Parts: sequence; structure tokens; C-alpha cells
Amino acid sequence: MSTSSYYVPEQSRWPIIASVSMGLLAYGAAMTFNAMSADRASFGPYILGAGFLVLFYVIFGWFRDVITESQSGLYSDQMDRSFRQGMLWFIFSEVMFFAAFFGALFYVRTFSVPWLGGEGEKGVTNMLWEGFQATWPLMVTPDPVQFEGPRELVDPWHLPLLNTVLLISSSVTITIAHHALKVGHRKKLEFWLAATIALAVAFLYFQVVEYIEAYTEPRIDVAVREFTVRPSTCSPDSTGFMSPSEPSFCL
Amino acid sequence: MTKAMMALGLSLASSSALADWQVNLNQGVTEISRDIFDLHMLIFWICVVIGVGVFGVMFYSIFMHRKSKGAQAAHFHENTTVEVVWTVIPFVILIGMAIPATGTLMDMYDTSEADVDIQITGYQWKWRYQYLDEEIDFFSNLSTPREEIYNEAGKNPNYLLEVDNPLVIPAGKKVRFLITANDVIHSWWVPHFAVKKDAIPGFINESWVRVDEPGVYRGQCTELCGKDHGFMPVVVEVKPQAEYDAWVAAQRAKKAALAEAASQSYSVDELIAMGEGVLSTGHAPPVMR
Amino acid sequence: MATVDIDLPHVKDHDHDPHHHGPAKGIGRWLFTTNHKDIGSMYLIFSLCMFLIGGLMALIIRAELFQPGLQLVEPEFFNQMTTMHGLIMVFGAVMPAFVGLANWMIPMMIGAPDMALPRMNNWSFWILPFAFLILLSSLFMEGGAPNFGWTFYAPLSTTYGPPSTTYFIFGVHIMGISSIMGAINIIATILNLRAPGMTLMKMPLFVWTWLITAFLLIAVMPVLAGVVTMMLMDIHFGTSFFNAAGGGDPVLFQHIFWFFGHPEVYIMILPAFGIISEIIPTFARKRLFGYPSMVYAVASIALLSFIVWAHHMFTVGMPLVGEVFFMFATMLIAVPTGVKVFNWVATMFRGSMTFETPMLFALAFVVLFTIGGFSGLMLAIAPVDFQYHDTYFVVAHFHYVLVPGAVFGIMAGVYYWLPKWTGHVLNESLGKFHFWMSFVGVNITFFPMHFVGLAGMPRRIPDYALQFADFNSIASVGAFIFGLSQLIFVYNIIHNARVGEKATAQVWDGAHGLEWTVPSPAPYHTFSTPPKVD
Ligand code: HEA
Ligand code: HEA
Ligand code: CUA
Ligand SMILES: [Cu+2]
Repeated sequence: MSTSSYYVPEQSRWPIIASVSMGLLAYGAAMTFNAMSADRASFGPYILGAGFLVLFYVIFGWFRDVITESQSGLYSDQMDRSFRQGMLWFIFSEVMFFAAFFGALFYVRTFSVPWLGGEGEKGVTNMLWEGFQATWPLMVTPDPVQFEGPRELVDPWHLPLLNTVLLISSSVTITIAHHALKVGHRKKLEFWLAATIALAVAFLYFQVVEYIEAYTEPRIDVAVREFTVRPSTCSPDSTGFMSPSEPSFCL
Repeated sequence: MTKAMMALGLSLASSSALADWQVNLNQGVTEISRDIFDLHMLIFWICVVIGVGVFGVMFYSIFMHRKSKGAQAAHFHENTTVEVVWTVIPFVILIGMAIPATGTLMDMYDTSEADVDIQITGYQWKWRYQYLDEEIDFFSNLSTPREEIYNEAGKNPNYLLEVDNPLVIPAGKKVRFLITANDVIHSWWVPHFAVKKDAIPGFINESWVRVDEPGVYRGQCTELCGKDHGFMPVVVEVKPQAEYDAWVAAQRAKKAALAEAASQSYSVDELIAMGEGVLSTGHAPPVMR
Repeated sequence: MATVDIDLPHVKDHDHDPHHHGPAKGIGRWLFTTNHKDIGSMYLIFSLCMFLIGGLMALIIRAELFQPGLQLVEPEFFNQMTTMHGLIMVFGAVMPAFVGLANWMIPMMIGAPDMALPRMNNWSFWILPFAFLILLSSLFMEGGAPNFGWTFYAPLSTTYGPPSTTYFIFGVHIMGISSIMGAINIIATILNLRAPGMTLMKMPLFVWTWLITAFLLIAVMPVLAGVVTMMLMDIHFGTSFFNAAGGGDPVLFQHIFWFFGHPEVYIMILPAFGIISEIIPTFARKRLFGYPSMVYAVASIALLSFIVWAHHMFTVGMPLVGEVFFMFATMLIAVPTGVKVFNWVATMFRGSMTFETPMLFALAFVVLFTIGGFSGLMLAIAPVDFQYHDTYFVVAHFHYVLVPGAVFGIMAGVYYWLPKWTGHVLNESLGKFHFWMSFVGVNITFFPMHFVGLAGMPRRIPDYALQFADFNSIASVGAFIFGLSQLIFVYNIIHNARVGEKATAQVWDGAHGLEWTVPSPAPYHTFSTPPKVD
């Protein structure tokens, strides 16, 4: 099970700095959102920005240390397994995070919307929403004054398709890069890695464009939009929670 | 120290004049509530018996197999027969519990063929009752005075369990409740009916009751609904059919009078005159709620 | 850089020998540490502070409820106290305490040099103070702290929540990140760092229960993160996950919350099962009756915990099939839990028992947890839960499984392992005094809650009808007895841990396991060479 050498890192300042950054991020984000909804100015964005700066500093510093250690041969196979398993379980946690959203989609689609429209076991509910009919996608909400329904559906064959293609091709490029790494082709590795990053940046760009459009323009209810409109490719893509370096997780 | 103890004892003794030492569920006044009570007692006694068995063996070991008494530890461990037995027996007991429980549940869910339909709506922090066939519609608020709550006056026996307008239902009839809410989630509960249903804003939940014994039954909101969650009681008056009919008639008459007053059209001068009348006599003209 | 066992040529001279490598000096030791023992200690101390703060809030609640009428606090503040008490105890006291114990004990129990990812370990801990700083700071914000119960049901927490809700949401996010990283670390440690010969089925039960708990954590903490994210979107971005007017449903919130929430309660009990399974064999001087069945029982409890969530929602108006399914599934959990209880009793049977403080807490755990489990089973009977739901009967149930359950489990563990951590034997008389005061106090506090609950007293109310007065006064007196007794605990740890008699390596004469083969206090780096296990 265990080899005779296990590298236990010496004291490190990265974790505590990272914690400070998370504190700043959380506090700053909350402040920003509250101020945004109340339409007033606040320090929030500055705190949030500071949190991101510190976070980037940590990411660079911490990764640099790890790479240095790795290159100086401190790591064993056992360490390697620990890192890989850590990553694996982290991905599992992401899957569960998105499972919550897909569960919500399932519930809304199979239970709450039909009930509101007078179908199924809690159909009496329709008494409260006279005239509302359950349809999917939900173009007219039970209370169109409070929640204006989407004016149009996002066409899955445009931006979403493009993003899906970007995402899938990034998995291909990163795989090629990985192979190159294994056989020691530095040039090839660099090229395909750069390609992957470029794809990730493009993906993120279009994701942002799409969100801004959806949020500002046809006033599509995000909950519904999220669920109806996109053929989902690999689960985590659809909300942009993944960071640029992560498309390869989808493999 | 002794003084403090005595003060404590006194305060306990004095408050027990008001309180009953009820330690168990109410049997209630409906068939369902009695079924539930029986289920409750059944599972309770099952737990007691299992508890006595398990703790019995445990305390036997604690007293007999202690080192200070010179007990030597045995070496046995793992015994498939024992392990199968203590897995299967609880399983069987549970099945025995689940079957009658499912039956009761099905009865509770059977809201068909009701005689009276009442829509109950939870508001922060009051209940609204609408009789769907009678066009009766009113709110029901806590009527305990502030002074009693803030300990500036003695508390009456129905402290916090009293309202201005109780819900009135006929005895012996199946009454269906359509429960919903206007703002946050509330929950409408009358222990003696064993009816507890969450009032979910935007959705309707159904429940029903048939009470044979006329009387006044009290309950409370049981879902945290904000600041005054503790102050939105439920009071239900169950009246014999004749009295219930009389009550309905009276409500109708009141409503008609109101409607008439509201439908009159007054000139501005007349209204001013009425307003002065209010000021001078101290009687408000009827207002719509 | 400390490496274990092998000297690497490029490692600087002065620190290549781990055997003489002690902790750093000053505050830096705690801020930058990668040592599982230091991090374990920080977790435990943090948890103790949170326990005192959360307990103080409980005492405010109990003081207000001592008598009918509003005397000490206003209802708004009362609701904040209930909410913060629940949140702090669950996420601030019990969970970090178990992680602290895991940090201290798991590497020692499986013969590992440290945790698998030591820097991440430090990070997991240090996020927590920030998360709770944010949470506690909400008490001083305009509109007050969260006041919607620890279950924060929508729409009370969304449309009707105070502004601090947004802070609460982000606090929960980073706290969740901390738990997930802690859990990943524990799994990686257990799966990768076991000493040669330490097969899975030879691992101590505490390690097993934590392996399964860590899995539960990774599976459900993200779901909690998901549900608070949906709240955030409903509050600030105009979505309608939990609003019927836009096609959503407030009950959807509850389904997602409890999909997290029910496994969460087992997260708070499984490691305690592990601790008790270590302690009872030690003081009964007899091998655990059925090791494999204990392992399978824990695994079954964990798996079942994913399909029972809606037993918290019997009154929300679920369709009948749902009620029946969740009732059956919930009742099933009594079977594997029973297997555990029977195993503990069978281990004591014909043993040679002594009753040191850890054993007393363990015995009280078995009895009082089982009582809490029984009331849980009663709650599981759906039609009857219509009468119990949201009354003090539920409050009684969960305090029986949480206080003399989880918390006694933690205390038993601390009394059991503290000599190993500090090298000093604890004062037995003080320990026993603490135990008996706690045992009596806890029952005076929580037993009468069954009665008022059955008699019809709803939970989360600042004031109540007169017929509930007596039992409430008794419960309040009990709460102060129990609460103040914890000061004995604090004194006992701080004082005796430093001046007590020197402890031997084995500490307890019936103890088995790798942790008892190293000296007390355990050296800063325990297993520089992996021990051989056969
Ligand atoms: C450590 C925490 C913990 C644990 C271990 C449990 C264990 C159990 N809980 Fe509990 N529960 C909570 C914490 C916990 N609970 C909390 C915090 C709440 C409230 C949340 C809130 O609303 O705020 C709650 C609420 C709660 C409810 C909802 C009540 C309501 O709101 O209406 C229900 C309903 O089914 C329930 C059931 C159970 C069951 C069946 C078990 C079982 O696991 C118990 C199994 C154990 C035994 C049964 C005893 C030993 C067994 C034997 C000796 C074998 C033989 C026995 C028989 C066959 C009878 N719990
Ligand atoms: C592990 C979890 C845990 C623990 C340990 C406790 C411990 C206690 N709990 Fe709590 N409780 C919950 C979890 C827990 N609780 C949850 C989840 C809820 C539901 C919340 C909700 O409804 O949303 C709840 C709700 C709850 C209520 C219901 C509130 C309501 O419905 O309005 C009550 C009422 O009596 C209560 C009481 C107590 C008491 C008296 C203790 C005692 O055990 C506490 C012991 C006291 C101390 C430990 C104090 C020690 C401190 C000092 C002596 C002072 C020194 C102070 C400093 C130095 C700062 N709890
Ligand atoms: Cu309405 Cu609680
Ligand atoms: Cu549960």
C-alpha cells in the first residue's frame, strides 16, 4: 500500500492567504449583490476585486510551489494517487452541485408546472391561477405580471451549439496535449495546450455574451431558460460555473 | 441557595395551578385522530419493549460483568445466527407497523365527497376563511391583548389560543379544507382533529375533517412564518347543524347589509355629514373588511 | 522540508531528520502549519468556541421560554437566536469537532505520516473562521441576522428574508467548500496512506465511519451549495425556482434542502458511532462483537440516507405514493442502526468492564441515542407525524440524537484520546463530575420537551399557551445545569491537560490499535516509518 517515502510539505503561507481571499470574495460578493438589488453604491466591488487579486496571487504562487516540488522529484507514485483522487472527488462534488439544478428542472417540469396548470394530484391548485395552462417550455408563466415569460426561445442551433462544439473540441485538444506530454513532445504539447486555452477563452466569451443577452434582452426567466433551451452537453457547461481550465473534466 | 430553591419551587407550584401536566397526545375527536392516537401508542409500546430488552441486557452486563467484581472477559465474537435474528426481527416488526400506518394515511388523503368546502389562506399573521358555497369570507386574528403578552396584565386561560372570528363548521359533516397562503408558508393545525397541513403560497393542499362532538377546538400555526409565527392561533367552533345554519344565515344577513351600505351612492355632502356623525357619536359606519 | 524516512540529497541539512523536527514557534505555527495534529487541535478549539457561543444562544432561548409571556427578547430576535443556534451548533460545533478528531486520529490509526494533502488541510480549516465571522457579523447588520430557522425555507428566506440573507448564502458557500475539501482529504488519506498490511477490513471503525461520512459530505454539501445558489438567483436575478408565480414551487426548496439535510444528520452521527465502537471494546476488554456487520451497517445507513429526505415534509401535501415511499424507506434505517446498538450491547455482555469517564459517556450515548432513535422511528410513521411535526416532540427527538448523541460522542472521544494528545492523564473525579452533571442536565432539559410537544406546543415560538408552562420551566432549569456543567469540561481540558499525571503509551489497559503504540504525547510527526500491521 505505502511506499517508504511520503512527502509532507513544510509550512506554507498559501492556504491562509487563500482563506483570506475567500473571506473577501464572500463578503464582497454579498455586499455587491445587496447594493445592486437596492440600487445603491457600495464598497462591495472593491472588496470582491481585492478577493480575486489575492486569489490569483495564491493560484500562481501555490501552483508554482507544487510544480517546483514535482520537478525536484519530491513526489512519489503514492502522492500522485492522492492528487488524482483529490481531483476525482472534487469532480464528483461538481457533479452533485449540478445534480441539484437538474433535479430542480425535473421537478418543475414534471410536478410544479403541471400542478399549476390543473393537472395531476395537486391540480386543484389551478383555482389560484385561473386561465393558466401548463406548457413546456413555459412561455407564459402563471403570473405574467410578476414574471414575464420568455419572448422567444434561445435557438439551440446558434450560440449553444457553438459553445458545445467549443467545449467538445477543447476536450480533444487537451487529450492530444496530454499524449504529447506523455511522450515528451514539448513543442506539440505547448501548441495543443495553447489551443485548449484559446478554446476555453472563446467558450467563456460566448457564455458571457449569451448570459447578457438572455438576462437583458428577451427577459427570459433564467430558471426556465436554463432548463428548456439548451441541449446540455457535458453537465457543468450550462451555467458557466466551471473555470477556463476545466473543459477537460468533461472527458 | 436554599432561598433560590424555594423561590423556584414556589414559582413552579404557582404556575402549576394554571397548567395541566399533559404528557401525551390527545385522542382527539375524529376517527382519524383516534386512529393516529392508536398508532402512536402502538409504536410507543413497541419502542418501550425493545428498549427494556436492550437496556436490560446492557445493565445486566454493567452490573454483573464488571472488572471490580472479578469478571473475566469472554472471547466470543461474531455469530451469524444471532446477527440474522437481530436483523430480521426488527424488520418484521417494522412491516407490522407500516401496514396499519399506510391504511390511515389513505383515509387522510381521501378528500372526496365533502359536504362543505372551505378555503383557508394563511397571511402574515392571520388566517382567512372563505366558504366556497356560501360566499362567506372573513379574517381571523389573535385576540389576546398586548398587555397580557408583555406581562402587564394577568393571562386568561386561553392565552394565545383565542381569536376574534373563529372558523365555524357543522358537526357530523365532512368538511374539506383547501389550504393555501398569501405570502410565506404557514401550517394549519388543530391537534384534536389531527389535521395539519402546510399552507404553501401559490399551491393548494387539501385536507378534511368530520367532527361529531360540537365544541371549541384550538390550535396554532406550525410553520415558522416570521415575527408573529407564535401569535396566529386557529380556533374552530363545531356547531350542531341547526346552529350552524343559523350562523350561516346571520353571516349572510350581515353581508347583505354591508353590501347595501356599500352600494348606496352618497353625495360629497352626505359623506361629510356621515363623517361628522361618526365623530360625534363615536360609532363607525359599517366598513367592509 | 520534511520527508519521511528517506533523505533526499537536495533537501537542506537542518531539517532532513523528521525525528527531531518539532513545531515552529509563535503564531506562524498555527497560520502556516501543515501538521495534522496542529490542524486537528485548531479544529477542536474552534468547535469548542462555537459550542459555547451556540450554547449561549440556546440559553437565551431557554431563558425566554422559562415562563409564558415575552420578557427578555422580542420575537424578531428570538427567531434570530433559534436560527443561529441551529446553524452554529450543526456547522460550527459538531462538524468541525469530528473533522478535528479525524485529523488527529486517522493518520495515527492507519499508520500514515500525515494527511494526504496537508496544505489543503490547513486551507480547509482556515476558511471556517471567515465563514463564521460572516455569519456572526450578520447579527449586527441592518434588519438583523437570518431569522428563518436553520432550514431557511423559501419564500421566508427569499422574498421575505432580511438583507443579511445574501451574506448568509456566501457564508454557507465557503463553509461548504471547507467541508468538501476536508472530506476529500480524509478519503485520500484513508485510501492511499494506510500502512502496509492495513487492509480496509482491518481499519479501526472510527476510520471506517469517517470514510463513509466523507463520502456523504462530498455528495451532499454541493447540493446545499446548489440550493443556496438558487436562493441567490431568486433574490437578486429575478428567477423563480421557489415562486409559483413563475412556475416554481416553495416545496422544491424543501426537497433540495432535505436531500442535503437528511444525510447531514448522519454526517453528525456516524463518526460518533465510530468513536463509541472504539471505546466500548477498550473498557469491556473484549473484542467488538461483529466488526464486519458494523461496517456493513454504517454503509447501509449511509446509502439509505439518500432516499428518505421527504420524511421532513410529510405535511407539505406530497402525493400519497410519496408519503408511503418515504415512510417505508425511513423506517428501514432502524434495522442497520439496531444492528449497531445490538453489537455494542453484545460487546459489553460477558466483558470485564470498568467505568472511566470515556466509558461513562459512551454508555450514556448508547442509551440516550437509542431513545432519540426511537422517537425518530415514531416520527417516521407518516400519519402520526402529522401530529408530531414542527412541535417540541421533534425538538426533543433531535436533541436526544445530537446532544447526548453527537456531542457526548465527541466528549467521549476527547476524554479517550486527550492523554494521547497532551501526554497527561485527565482528572478522573472531575471527569466523572462533568459526566454526571451533563447526564442529569441533558435529561432534565430535553425529556420534558417530549411532553409539551405531544401536548401540542409548536417549535420556533417565543411565547406559548399556559398549559405548557411547567415543563418549559423545568427544561430551562435543565438547560442552565447542562450549560454550566460544560465549564467543568473546559476547565478540565485546559487545566489537567497541562498538569495531570504523565500518561503511558497505552493509557487505557484494554486499548488496542496503532495510536496506542506511540508514546504519549504523540510525537509531532508520528509514523516516519510506516508500521507493519499484521
Ligand atoms: C444525529 C442526528 C440525527 C439522527 C441520528 C436521526 C435519526 C433518525 N431520525 Fe431524525 N432528525 C434530526 C436528527 C437526527 N435524526 C434532526 C436535526 C431533525 C429535525 C430537523 C429540523 O426540522 O430542524 C430530525 C427530524 C426527523 C424527522 C422529521 C420530523 C418532523 O419534522 O416532523 C423524522 C421523521 O421521520 C426523523 C426520523 C429519524 C429516524 C427514523 C432516525 C433513525 O436513524 C433512528 C434509528 C435508531 C433507532 C430506531 C434506535 C436503535 C434501534 C434499535 C434498538 C433496533 C430496533 C428498533 C425497532 C425496530 C423499533 N427525524
Ligand atoms: C448539535 C446540535 C445542537 C446542540 C448541541 C444543541 C444544544 C442545545 N439546544 Fe438546540 N437546536 C439545534 C441543534 C443543537 N442544539 C437545532 C438544529 C435546532 C433547530 C433550530 C431551528 O429551529 O431552526 C435547535 C433548536 C433548539 C431549541 C428550539 C428553539 C425553537 O424552536 O424556538 C431549543 C429550545 O430549548 C434548544 C435548546 C438547546 C439547549 C438548551 C442546548 C444545550 O445543549 C446547550 C448547552 C449550553 C451550553 C453549552 C452553554 C455553555 C456556555 C456557557 C455556560 C457560557 C459561557 C459562554 C462563553 C464563554 C461565550 N435548541
Ligand atoms: Cu403562520 Cu407560523
Ligand atoms: Cu431526516
